[in-house]
Amino acid sequence: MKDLGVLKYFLRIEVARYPTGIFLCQRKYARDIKSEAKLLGAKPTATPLEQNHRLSLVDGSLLSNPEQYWRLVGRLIYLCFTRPELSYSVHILSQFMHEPQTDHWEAALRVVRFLKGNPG
Amino acid sequence: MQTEIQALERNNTWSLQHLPPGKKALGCKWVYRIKHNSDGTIERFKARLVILGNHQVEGVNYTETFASVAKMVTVRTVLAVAATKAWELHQMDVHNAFLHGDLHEEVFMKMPPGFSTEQQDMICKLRKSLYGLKQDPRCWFAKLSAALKSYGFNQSYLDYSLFTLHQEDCGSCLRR
Repeated sequence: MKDLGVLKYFLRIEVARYPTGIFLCQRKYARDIKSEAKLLGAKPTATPLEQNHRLSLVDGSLLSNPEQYWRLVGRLIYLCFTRPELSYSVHILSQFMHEPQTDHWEAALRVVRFLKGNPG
Repeated sequence: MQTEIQALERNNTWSLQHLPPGKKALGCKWVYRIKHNSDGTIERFKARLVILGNHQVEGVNYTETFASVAKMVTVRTVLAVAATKAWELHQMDVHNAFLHGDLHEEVFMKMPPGFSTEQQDMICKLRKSLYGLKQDPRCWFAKLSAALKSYGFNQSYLDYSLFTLHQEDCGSCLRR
């Protein structure tokens, strides 16, 4: 058994204590997502999702490796713990888990590019 | 690697015996990882003995595998209460957590690579759970909750991963 001292970092969440309260942040986790998507040097976008998107109507080619999509969206779901502004986009992206297409993957990458501009 | 072997021996993880007829022994292997510090420098080289749980057969060497995971809602609630009550928050880590769980099923394992005995055809009968078994998290959780309850902790009905302990002039709360 090892005492890790005062709560600082657990479940990939950084915890900072202030006299006024507790500050939770997943900045490190967001960075891991960016680095895994190889978008560390990407241009940031201002919004996580396009306006008037038609993601449920797209009729493109299926992703050959849906695992990649599942993994990314899964990580974004966990990121929502401290980033409620992503909830809507992640909710939309999770609707295509069973048959992700290339447009959905592009939309997921756009969320990652949004993180680039808003690291948390 | 030595520390892992020591941990396995200290825990009485297995006993040596001959394989009973009609039983199968699971294979195992060593997994080596390089552990890094947060600044990228190498902290240590870690060895972990894992059993090939993917060859386990349901009903033969495992039955129940469910283990609860802390709900994020609970985590948030505990942190919120801690913030309002100005509680101190601490965290800890258990070394080789899964090695502590008691194994109830009958699992046989081949000798780990690098181990040898004088007698031939000896295999290991597991007493404690070993990393890689399907029932690992369940065994460990059973052990942990039993230990916490013996210290007077109460298990929450709303989230089984939340344990609380109330004491005079200070409340203590524990989460997995």
